Amino acid sequence: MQTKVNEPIEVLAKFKNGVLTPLVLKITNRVYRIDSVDLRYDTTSGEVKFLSYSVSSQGNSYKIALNTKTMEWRLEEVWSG
Amino acid sequence: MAAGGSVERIILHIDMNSYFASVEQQARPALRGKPIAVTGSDKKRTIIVAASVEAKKFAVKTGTQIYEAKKLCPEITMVVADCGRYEAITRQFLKIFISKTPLVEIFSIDEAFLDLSGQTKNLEEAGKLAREIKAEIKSKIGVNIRCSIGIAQNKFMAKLASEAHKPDGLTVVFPGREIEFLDQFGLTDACGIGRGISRRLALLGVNSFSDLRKIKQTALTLAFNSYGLRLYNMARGQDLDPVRPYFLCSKPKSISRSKTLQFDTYDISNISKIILSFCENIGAELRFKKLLAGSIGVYLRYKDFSWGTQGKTIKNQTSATAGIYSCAKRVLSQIEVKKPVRKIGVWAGGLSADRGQLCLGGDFGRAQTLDEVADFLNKKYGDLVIRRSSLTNLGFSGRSPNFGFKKEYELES
Repeated sequence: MQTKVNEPIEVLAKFKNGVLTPLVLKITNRVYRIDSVDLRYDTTSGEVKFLSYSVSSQGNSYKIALNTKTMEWRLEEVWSG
Repeated sequence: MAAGGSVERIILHIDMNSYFASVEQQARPALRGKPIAVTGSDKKRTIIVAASVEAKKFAVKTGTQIYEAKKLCPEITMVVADCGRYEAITRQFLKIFISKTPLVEIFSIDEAFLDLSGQTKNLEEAGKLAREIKAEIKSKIGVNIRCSIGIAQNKFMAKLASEAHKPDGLTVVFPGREIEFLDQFGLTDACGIGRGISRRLALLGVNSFSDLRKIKQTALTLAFNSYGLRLYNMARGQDLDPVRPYFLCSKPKSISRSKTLQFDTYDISNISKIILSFCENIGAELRFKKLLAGSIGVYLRYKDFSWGTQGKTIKNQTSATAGIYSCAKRVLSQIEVKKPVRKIGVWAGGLSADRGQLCLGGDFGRAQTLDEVADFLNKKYGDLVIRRSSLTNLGFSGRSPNFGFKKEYELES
């Protein structure tokens, strides 16, 4: 089931060889270790670049995005089941 | 595939398989291997815009209504389209193509032609490069993103070749084998022969490529004007069209927007609001591309699927929203809305380059300045951060919901 969210979250990420990879999500005090990064891509809104990721954790999929201007992570969507 | 001698032209056509659905399955492992369909929206009146390979086995395809899809495949999962995501992934695979050759023609959001002439010695080498491209897409973008590639000496045959095996196909048409390959296909399988042309060909007794080869070029020209020569060449597997590289993209012939409404309506003020929204969007695109519109048209599709359409030439070409809307309103007034309207569209044609308009001052000047301010703010802060107050409760953006895809790309280095 697809659920639109749009909430700020915390993310632990790795920077290696110029590539940012999210490793752990913290959503409302619950921690989710990321099992796989399934898709990564950039989008822009106006002059702001967003780094978007589709990641999986414990069978659920999460769409998260980093606003590279404010350096804020947001959870945009959850797909469960 | 046997080794061949060198050939004059080597063209690849790359077609991403069930593209939107594949991207969604890549994003969500739980959906992989399952029938899914990507829809235009989560509203009642929407259709399937892409079906996964698994869903296609149940005859679900682009254009299928949702209720129909559910009847054909009760376990199908619906996913609302995410255009930003598909455009972003397209940029990624285009970068891979461009790393092989700069001569890449963007045919659509999920198709491209590559001209490898002079770069690879023969079709066998081209095949090896094609396999490298497939592997690179899988490793850099995702294992679920697959493509079918056709290789031939021209665009027409390369595109037909990519249709031969799906998904994840690789088909080469060797020189001298074009007609043998072509004759496996029906006329409407070919790009450039739609239902209209095939009906007209049927009137000439042409129902296959073999039949088409029996018709003289002069007869085809008489029946189809300049397109007759194209048909003559197609029948022989020939096509002189060059690959048009993305960086030399020519201006569009027209720009349009359209939308199927959630509810049919007679309400002219509502229809006018929607048309204004489209004019706002079309104007922004014209100004961004530095183009002027010479004609504006409006079309309405009624509840019974009949059409009402009118167009009008603009005296002074324009890209100003106010000018476009003023013309569109006059056009709308000429269409008699006798039946409930289910779909509305606006197009701007007669496009020419904007070499700098004179600002006439007064209302014209004010409208032009407003457009420029809106464009600046929307570019800086995101689409539609500013728009006309009458459109704030419209419920949609006026951005093309039919995935009108720009063929010119800003590809970052």
